[in-house]
Amino acid sequence: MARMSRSPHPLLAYVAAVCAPVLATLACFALDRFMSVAGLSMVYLVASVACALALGRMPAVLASVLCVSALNYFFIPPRYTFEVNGAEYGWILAVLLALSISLGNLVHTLRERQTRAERGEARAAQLHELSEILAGCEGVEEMARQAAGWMCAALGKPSAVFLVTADGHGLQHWGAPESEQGFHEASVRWALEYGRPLGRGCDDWRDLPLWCAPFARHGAQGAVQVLLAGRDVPDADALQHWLALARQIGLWTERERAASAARVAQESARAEAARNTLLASLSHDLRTPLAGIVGTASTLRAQSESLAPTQRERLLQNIENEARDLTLMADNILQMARLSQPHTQLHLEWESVEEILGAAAARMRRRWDASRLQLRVTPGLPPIKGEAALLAQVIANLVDNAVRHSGQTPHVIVTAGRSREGVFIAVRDHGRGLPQGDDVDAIFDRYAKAGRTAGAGLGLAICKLVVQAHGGRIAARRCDPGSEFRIDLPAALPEKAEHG
Amino acid sequence: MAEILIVEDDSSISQFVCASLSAAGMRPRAARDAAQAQQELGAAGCDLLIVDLGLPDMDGVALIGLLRAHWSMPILVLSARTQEAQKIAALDAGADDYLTKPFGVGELLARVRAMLRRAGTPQRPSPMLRIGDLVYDREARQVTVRGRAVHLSPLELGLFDCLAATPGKVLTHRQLLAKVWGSEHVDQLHYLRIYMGHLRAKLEDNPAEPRYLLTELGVGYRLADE
Repeated sequence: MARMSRSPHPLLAYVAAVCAPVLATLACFALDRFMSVAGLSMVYLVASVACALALGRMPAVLASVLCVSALNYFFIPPRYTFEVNGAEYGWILAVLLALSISLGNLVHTLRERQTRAERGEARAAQLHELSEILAGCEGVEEMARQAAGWMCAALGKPSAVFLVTADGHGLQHWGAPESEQGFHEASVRWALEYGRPLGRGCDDWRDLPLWCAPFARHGAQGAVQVLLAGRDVPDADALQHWLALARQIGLWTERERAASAARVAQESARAEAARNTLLASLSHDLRTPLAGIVGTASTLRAQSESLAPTQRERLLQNIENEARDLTLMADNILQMARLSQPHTQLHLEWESVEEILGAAAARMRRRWDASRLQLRVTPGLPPIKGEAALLAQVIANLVDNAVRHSGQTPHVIVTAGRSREGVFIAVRDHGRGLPQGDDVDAIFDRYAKAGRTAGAGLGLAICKLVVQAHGGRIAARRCDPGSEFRIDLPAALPEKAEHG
Repeated sequence: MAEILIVEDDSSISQFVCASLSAAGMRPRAARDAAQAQQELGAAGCDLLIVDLGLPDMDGVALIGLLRAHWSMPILVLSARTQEAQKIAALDAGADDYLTKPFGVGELLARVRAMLRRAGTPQRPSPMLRIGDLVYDREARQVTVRGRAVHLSPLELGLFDCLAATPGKVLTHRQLLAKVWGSEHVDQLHYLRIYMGHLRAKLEDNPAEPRYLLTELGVGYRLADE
């Protein structure tokens, strides 16, 4: 069957249905001299068939009635009356009328079928387009937003996608256009509860100016809502299609939810594994100084009499040092727990790097021989936004690390100065250096240990967390001899203080 | 002999503090909680109070606020690493100094002695303050380092004078900002940082490791008292 053109506008079709018989009549007047009534009736037949093909059922009926009337009035004797003389003419009229009407009907049915096929094709294309868009989204929120936008563009009506929140009680919606405020939550709750669509063209709530359908009959995940203006009532066919679109959105969001649940499970398994590594490494790191403390303290109690005063003094000093190591470790564990939380807020204040280094150095000097630690700070460094206690802890960890890796005579130099972005702090030791071969930055990764010396892994991991939380960078490099850890922190200039 | 009341619920800390204070020639008494502390104070008073911030029956900061309404003896706060904010609040509420756990007996005795010394000095401090090579003439408002007069701007002098009023005592950032710049500027921490930097540049040999103007990280400043 050849492709048919779309029906013209209804009013135009009726005008054409009037014009065609007029033209046929004019033609018949021109041909009247050469043809009999049978020939002329063919002209009218052509006109009404043409109308049936081009104009649709009702205009075709009108055209054929007009054609038959005109033929009867103008050309069938007695002419210029509606009377009919003789059975032959009656037969011609009857055949003409029957032919035009049945042809009109036939064409109409064919066209209906074709438009339905075309609509079906377009809808299949829409479903495909929607699923392609949804396939490209990450996360259900993104899907809902994209789907609502697409529905709005494809249907030309304000549309929204509602999702049931993770707790199963709340509803969240993404509407398009975004300015549209009229989306209706109560109807969504109804649709989710009863598992069927509602609104215009449905069995329930047909007075509401909208159409709303849950994604699926069972398992309330979400729903689609389309706002309908004025007297816009979609037909059953359109609703069927919209329902298919809603199911499609439901399918994709469900798939995405399942995938993200799997991801969360995987991540928590990884976090669990990391926690176990941390606990294992901590219990090792805690046991070492604890063993020292318990052993030394019991020696002092049991053999106090037989120990020389200098020996006693040294043992007591060991207990104190080990306990202070434990304190630093406890601080590190505390900060690790705090900074590992997803949304930790730092207490940022305007701080002076000079003061932080000075305070950290003063604390270190209480433990080590003063000459082993040298502080070189460029005067007039810009202030930085930071949390002083955390930054001091970073310095303490780096110096502690440097001293541990320096063997018998540690020599640690802490330098601070201006850098391109703000301020740098460098901690240089002259010890045995970083392990060869490995990626140097891997030593900051949690609990990685350079040569398995107690406590170092956690300390460096904290340094990295803290520096990153301050928007800075930390890097290690090999020197000869020893190694250098460098921190870069961004400076921000505060408004000028009042001068006095 | 100085009467000292320790309010601390952890008995091993309480014991070690009491032992070291009596060994140093003071008379310590212990209270387990805020209620007992108030009872003890009402019965006999004391010359110095040591308060742990984590008491079982009352917030340490609230207790200090309450005691300050009736008592003027120096208060030393003991705080854990997790109580940074409460520590500052306690100082702002009227505590005189703090020690962060764990602390050594050396630090404890140094603080306690310095606080008792300050409390024992007469209301009118002597016009001349001497700390190492630094001399401050309170009346002439003139600072001299190793005999050389140092010129300070009015704000620098105001800041120094504030710290010099109570050498050895911690002053929080808020307290200093309120006294020198006015109460509407208590959050402008960078004013303080900048002027402290200026003061150190003028008074200290090595500003990064100050001898006189000491940093209490995250809390405030104090002037060294010896």
